[in-house]
Amino acid sequence: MIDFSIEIETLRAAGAVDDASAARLSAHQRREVFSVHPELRITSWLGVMLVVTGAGILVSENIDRIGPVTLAAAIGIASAACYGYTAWRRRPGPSAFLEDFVLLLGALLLSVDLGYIESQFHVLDQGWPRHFLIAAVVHGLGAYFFDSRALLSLSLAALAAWLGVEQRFQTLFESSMETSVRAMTAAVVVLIWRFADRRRRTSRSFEPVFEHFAANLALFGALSLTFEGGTRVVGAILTIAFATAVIAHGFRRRTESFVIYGYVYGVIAADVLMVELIDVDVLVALYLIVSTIAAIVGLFLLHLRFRRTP
Amino acid sequence: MTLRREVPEIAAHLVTPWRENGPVLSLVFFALTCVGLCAAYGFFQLIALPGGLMTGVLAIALAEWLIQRHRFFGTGVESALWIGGLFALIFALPGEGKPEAILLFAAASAIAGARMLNPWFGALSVTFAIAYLIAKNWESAAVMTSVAIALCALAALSRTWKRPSVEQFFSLLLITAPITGAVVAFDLHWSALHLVFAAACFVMGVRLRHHAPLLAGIVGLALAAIDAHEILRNGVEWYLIIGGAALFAVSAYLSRHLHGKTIGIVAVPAELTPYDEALQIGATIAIAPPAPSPGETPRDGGSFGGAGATGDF
Repeated sequence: MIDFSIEIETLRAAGAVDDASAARLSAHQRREVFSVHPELRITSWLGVMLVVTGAGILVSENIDRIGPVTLAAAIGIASAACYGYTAWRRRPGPSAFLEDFVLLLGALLLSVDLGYIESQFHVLDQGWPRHFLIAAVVHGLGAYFFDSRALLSLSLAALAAWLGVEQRFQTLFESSMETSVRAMTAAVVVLIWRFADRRRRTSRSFEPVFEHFAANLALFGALSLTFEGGTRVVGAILTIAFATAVIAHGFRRRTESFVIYGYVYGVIAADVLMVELIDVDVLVALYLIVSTIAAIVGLFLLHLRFRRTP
Repeated sequence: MTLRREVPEIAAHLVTPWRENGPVLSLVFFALTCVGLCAAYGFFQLIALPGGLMTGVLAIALAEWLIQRHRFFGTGVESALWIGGLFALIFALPGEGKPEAILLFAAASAIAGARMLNPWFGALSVTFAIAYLIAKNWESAAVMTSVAIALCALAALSRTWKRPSVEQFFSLLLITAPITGAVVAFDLHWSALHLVFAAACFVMGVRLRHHAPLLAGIVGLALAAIDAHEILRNGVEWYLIIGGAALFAVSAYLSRHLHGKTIGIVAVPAELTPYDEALQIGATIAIAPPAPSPGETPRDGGSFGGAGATGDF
């Protein structure tokens, strides 16, 4: 085990750390206070995921034995019970994380139930993708009622799914112009929602979730255009333009993650375009060496500038 | 955990000439450097020069120049150059695809790990060593060796270490080694071994008050449960639901039990990484299971699911 007790004592003796802070830090080093909160969170999350996975298998493999109405009702009741329990027990404080996980369980069960009901009873018929919209609305309302970022993320993911943005990595390479437009439309919708949220709520807790979703949807949409032969140039220009905006936003918000992934998306778009234009193996390899060195130096300079920006 | 995160009050008083980055930025630099190394390897091969040898020598020389002259240590660039350089040198060797080549990668990872004080490379080295046993079809030996290595790491964690990288190395080893060993040999008769391992980890975790053994205990339990999957081939859904509910109940009980405690083992909010919430949300969206199977979807096909499920229509 690592132990900085001697260093703390040296700093205390030199007057760099006051007695109270030194005592607190030393107690921490001696593990007089040890929080198992991370382990409890991981265990709770695993529990929720196992239950939801089990429920997913249950609905797909036990229709004949249990019957669709019973199954849909049982999952619906379980979901409602989770929401009800959270509404009853929820209070601000350190132990609220348990209620957060019950809420998450309820929301995921609701998603499973909505999909199951639609697949069995064809309630929306040809308009079946609208069950994603229903999920988005319900999770969105839940997010505001319970002030939950996890539910907001589920809502935004469902919204993107309704707009036709698939949640698979391969989409980047297999998608069409239509998918790219859908992703960028989803980004715009998320941004509009973010502005509405900003006007109506005093709390800013949802802003990072909106911004990360919008940035990634827009960059993803533009980058997938770059992988298409006919739209490569437009896609690369759009990706670099969006990446520049995201980096600038990262500087304004003092959030380096925007800067980093904006930069990475931009580098990928530039490289894909240039590799296509060069089209000679040796020159492509040489270009990639030079461009990677340039990208590394560029990121170092950007990082340095970010750290120096007040 | 680094000194900066572990005790920021001390770190504020330490001024070192070394350049280092946070984990995310280091990972990006690492990936970019790997791309550059692959391009260099390809370039030398295309102009009929020995790609592995040239790339390896140049990469290691560049890494040392960056370390010695520019004080790079923990930026991600020099680590990628060192391990990538050594791997490139291995690729330069004439090979017949024998499993023993894996041991070369294990040695390369160990050398790079020792030079860069990088715990991930150290753990990767052990992973390669266990992978060698698996490649030789010594699956039982792989499982037993991996658990033995993890138990050695557990014992090592009970000692006081001065270097954070050594502590991180043993912590990583404790968690990753059993997974590597078990990955190809999930079998009912290993369930007891993984249960014993989990129990040892939980006991030591509580005694040492250390996160790594507790996390390794959770991993051990998960491995034991997966080992036992054969006896639950029918009704796996109930197994998952009951197991999940039990995990949640244990967590709820401990949380309530520790509520209000201010000394000893407590449950006050604490984070393992600065990205805990983002990781949790991302993982939830990524693995939230689809509800019905694609065959049961309506009319024109597509796969269903909840928020975050696929929307391929």
